[in-house]
Parts: sequence; C-alpha cells; structure tokens
Amino acid sequence: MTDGRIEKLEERKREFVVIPGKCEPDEALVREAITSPDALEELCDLYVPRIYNFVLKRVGKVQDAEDITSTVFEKVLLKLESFDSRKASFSTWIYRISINSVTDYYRGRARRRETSLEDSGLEVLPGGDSGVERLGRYLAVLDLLDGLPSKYQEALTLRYFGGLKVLEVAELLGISETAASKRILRGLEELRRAALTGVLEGLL
Amino acid sequence: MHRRIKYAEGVDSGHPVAEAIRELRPPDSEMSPEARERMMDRLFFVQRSMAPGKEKRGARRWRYALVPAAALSLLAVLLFVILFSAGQKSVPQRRFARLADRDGYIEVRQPGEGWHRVEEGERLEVGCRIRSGPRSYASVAFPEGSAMRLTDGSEARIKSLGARSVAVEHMEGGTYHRVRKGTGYTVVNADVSLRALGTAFNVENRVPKQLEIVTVENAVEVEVGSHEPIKVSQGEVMVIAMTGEKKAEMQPVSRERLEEERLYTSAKKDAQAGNSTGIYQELDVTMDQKPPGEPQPPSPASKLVISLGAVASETGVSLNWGVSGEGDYDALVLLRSETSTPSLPADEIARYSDISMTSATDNSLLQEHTYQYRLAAIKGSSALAYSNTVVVTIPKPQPKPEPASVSLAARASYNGVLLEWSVAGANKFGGFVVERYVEKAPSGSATPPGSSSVKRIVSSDVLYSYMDSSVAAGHTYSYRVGLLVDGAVMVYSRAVSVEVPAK
Repeated sequence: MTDGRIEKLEERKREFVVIPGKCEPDEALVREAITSPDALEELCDLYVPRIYNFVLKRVGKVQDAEDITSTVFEKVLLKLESFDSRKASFSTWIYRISINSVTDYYRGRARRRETSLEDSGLEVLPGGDSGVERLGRYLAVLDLLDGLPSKYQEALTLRYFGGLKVLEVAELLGISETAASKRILRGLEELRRAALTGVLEGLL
Repeated sequence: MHRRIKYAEGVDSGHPVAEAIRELRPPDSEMSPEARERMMDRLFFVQRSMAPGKEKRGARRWRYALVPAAALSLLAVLLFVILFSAGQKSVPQRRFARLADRDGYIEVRQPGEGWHRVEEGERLEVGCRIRSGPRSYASVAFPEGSAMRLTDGSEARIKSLGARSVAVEHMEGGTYHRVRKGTGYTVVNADVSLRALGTAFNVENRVPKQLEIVTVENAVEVEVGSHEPIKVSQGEVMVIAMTGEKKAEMQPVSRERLEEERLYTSAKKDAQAGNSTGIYQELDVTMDQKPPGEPQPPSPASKLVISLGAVASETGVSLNWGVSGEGDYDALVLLRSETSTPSLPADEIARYSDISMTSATDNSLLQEHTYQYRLAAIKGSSALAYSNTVVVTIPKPQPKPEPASVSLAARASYNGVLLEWSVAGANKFGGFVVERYVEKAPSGSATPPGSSSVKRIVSSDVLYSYMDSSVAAGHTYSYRVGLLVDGAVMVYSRAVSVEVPAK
C-alpha cells in the first residue's frame, strides 16, 4: 500500500513524504491539498480509512459514519490554511476535528439509534450464542459511553476506537500523559459502574 | 522517562472493560465507494470554490461587450418563434428556472450531467441541483415569479415547476424564499415539508441535526412527518430537532437572529427587489437600502457569522454552534442570562480557547427556569461577533418508567417468520431490537447452528411486528425481542423457537 502510494507520487514528480510508522503527511502535501485535487485525494487516501473506522466504531452506524467522515474532511479542507504544524501534528489536528464532529453527532441526535447490523458489516459473528450477545453488548457499550461525562467519552473514544497510544491521547486532549492515563482509567471505571446492570452484566 | 511511558501505555492492560471493548469492537472496514465518491465530489467542489482568481480579468469585460449582441440575437430568435408559432397548435411548455444573480463560486448539476460552474442567466431544469461555495451566494428566479436565494455553503434541488407551483428540496445550508402570491410553493427537507402561499421565509440546517424555519412575512405551514401541519407565522421561528423523535420548538424570532448577516442580507436583497419584509418592518430593523447603481457595501457573508442552537433536557442544555466567514479571533465565550440578552463580560459562563470546539453542555441549571444563551467570538477583550440568542426552558423531570416486559409470539408463514409482540409497563421507548439465532440447520447450510443476526427497528406507535423474510427452509430459529430505552436494551422477551418447514 505504502509502496504503491509512493510510486504514484513519483509518477507525478512531486516530493511528498510519509513519515514511516507515524504515517504523517509532510507539510507540502498538506499545503498543496488546499488547491490541488491530486494532493487532496492523496491526503484523503492517507486519512479517510483511519478516520472512517474511528468514527464507525464510535457511532455504530455506517451511514452516520460516512456523513460524519465527510463533514470532518470538509472542515479540514476549509481550515487547512490555518493549520499550523508547529502547534500540533496533522494527525492530532484531524483527530481533534473528528472527535468534535462525533460529539456534535451525539449532542444533536436523540438518544435512540436505528441500526441495521446487516448494513454495518457486523451482522454475523462467530461463536454460537455469544454472536447475538456480543453484538448487543457492543451497541450497549456505545450507549453507555454516550452517557459518560464528555471528558471520559473523549479519552475512551480516542484510546479504543481511534487505537491511539496514551501519549497521543494526551497530546490530543492537551493534557499530560499521566492525566490521560488517569482519565482513561477513570472512564473505564465509570463505564464498569454503568454496566453493572443490563446486558453487559457478567461481561464487564 | 522510558519507565513512565511504558507504564502509561500499559495502564489499561488487563482492565476487564478495556479488554471487553477490544474484544467486542468490529474489525476495520472500508468506506463504501459511493460514499467516498460523494465525499470527494463535495471536497473538490469546496476546493474549487476556495480557489483564488476564479475569473480572468478580461473575461467580465468581454462578457459585457457581448451582452448587446446577445440581446439582439435573443430578440431576433424571439421574433422568429412568435411569428412561427402563430397558427401552430400549443404544445406543453417545458419550464425552467434561471440563475438570476450570483456572487462567488456557484455550481449546478443538471439531470444526467456532472457539476459545472454556472453563470448568470443559465437555465436550471427540473431535477437540477445548485450549490454555493464558501463566501458565495446565488439567486434563482422561478418562471412564475417566485425566487430562492442560497447563502454560502448551501445546496438545493428544484423538484418541480408548474404554472402556479414550485417545489424545492433544501439540502443543506441556508435558503431564503420569496413566494409570489397565488403560487403553491413547497420546500422539503427529509420528512419535513413547508408549504406557503405568498410569503417570505428562511430555511437553515447549519447546526447539525437541526432545521430552522424563520417566517419573515405572512405564514408558512410546516408538516413534520405525518403530524398535523403547524403554522409558523410572521416573526416566529421554528426549530426542529432532526433526530428520531423530531421535536419542534417555536418562539418569536429574536432581533439578533434577524440581524444575523446571512438572513439580514437575504431580506435586504428581497427589499431591494421591491418586496415588503414583514417582521423587519414590524420591528423597524433598518434595511439601509441603496439605490441601484450605487456601490454596494462588501458582502456581509465574508464576515464572521456564528449560528447557535440549543436543545434542553431535564439534565441540562446541549449547545451546538457553527462559525463561518472570516475573522481573526482567539476564543469563543459562552454567555448565559436568565433575565435579559446575555452580554460580555457579566454573563460569561465558559471560555474556549480551542476555537475548533463546536458544542458544549450546561448542566448547572434549575428545572422549569428559562435561560438565554449567546456565543461571542473575541479577540483580546473585544467581541468581534455574537451569535443569535437562543432561549430554552428546562423541563420537569419525567416519571421513571415502570418495570417493562415484552411478550413475543412467532410463527412460520408462507414468506418467512412473522414475529408479533406486545409491551407492558412502558409507554416511552426508543424502539426494538430483534435478535435471531440459528438453532438447527441442515448440513452444508450457509447459516450453520450458532449463526446470529440482530435487527434494530425504529420506534413506532403501531409497529409491534416484524416479518423476517431472510429465513431458510429446514432451519430452526430462536428469536427474542429487546425493548430499547435510551438506546440500550431495557428488557428482553423470552426466546421463542420457530421451525421453518423444509420445501
């Protein structure tokens, strides 16, 4: 995937660099994405899968995840000129926009979700009776998370749906690594308390 | 340092909730190609509309030079058509709207075609979509005399055009409508339908999951889903929460809302076209009209505009906002007052230096009290712009639901398995979840014993049944129905087994 992308870039004789491991776009790609369709597409290739999966795992509904992802990238494009890599990395910035968009989604909707799991790719889960239970539990976890104070929601969302390291969560939330650790742990405890009754009993 | 990072990274290892989430969360998947294409299309449009130097310098001059020639040609064609059509039988007339005015970057998509940049005068067919870029606006003239104005970042579709009727789909952003007397004019957004006869009104959905209707003149009938139409009269604003239950709130429109740049500019253009502007005149909001030909002030759409929305619940108020336009501000300040329009510095309750924030929750409120909120964009200690004022009342707590139960019956029918259930002890719930588990299956089945699926069903007062038509012959299924309250399953029915006969 990475090789293919680099090859495409060489074909276009541009000098975009992806930082190995972190998969950060270079400054030129970010700047050029404001005006160049190719660069914009390149930037989307790099970030849409990550942001889409982050959002999908958090909201549990394909159509909403698609809409939110689209909103995120439109906001990114509109604010790209004001992006300052000295203040935060591009990843930090885009995750910040994503989590704000997810928060908007939860604030704006009624606390009811219409989810057809056939649509979400989560339909059939192996494991006998646990398939049904597991699916119900996952959606129940999302609903419980929705009921937590926003600071815990954000920390847990970034950690478990964004797959971020504690250090990255800390950077995104603008707090120390120790504070991020504590916030994640307290969030998990809040979630455990909330899950003591209902369909999650026994699992958590 | 190394030890600290290692500790922090492993802080949740072994925690049962962390492990459970990791186990339960679905594997990565890809965005559908259709959604990705829609998104990229939208992004490229935004990118094009942001591009500087959209028009070459000489282009406008050339266009002006061509105007007289084009007018003469048009006159000749019209004369020919009139002479030719005299004595001919009348044929059904195709109706078109036209782009009457524009500023900035506007694109249209005619039926069966792609998006292209549009110029003034271009015909817009039925089915045509039109969208405006950032800091751009467009006015559409309908053939019977009505008009629609798109403010920046908006999109609409012309649904139908009749001799005395117009139907428009408001898709996003803000649209202002001036309806000619005698025209049946309809604007739809999802399952909300607005009907008007001789009026002016504004529709916006800039705040996520929220549709706002402001009636500037006369009245508009608003129909939400299958509910009875609600009349929104001159000077009233209706805000509909575009979520499952679609709650609507109506109140007098505030002066601040009327003076908000986009709405104000639309009303001003309307006034410049010689129309009366109802509530603006009633409240003596100056329109500051300039005679045609005089230099116009810079478009207010380029200034900072803050749109604030609020939803009240028993536990507090959720506030959402959107900021657009240009402005060098370094913080957003949330203001709240119980007695008057909130203002700086006395009514400040929160300050956000992270200006990408778009929402907040205020939980420090008293039930049955009414609060007013405003958001200010500030630079240093000066306010550069204020949002509209929103007024909310905290409702009384609802009594807790009684213990609930669900009774389920299931039977195989000729086209599937019919599930029917009843609910006792609950009158307010969000829907149902139907769970199916394969108990028995013939060997080689695509859904062997243990396979399962889940279907969530939207709440409805009448929907207490579900036909599962995806069953296979010769299989035995176990079903149960869960009652959803606040998004989580409150109680399940007992499991019911159904055998689907082999063919």
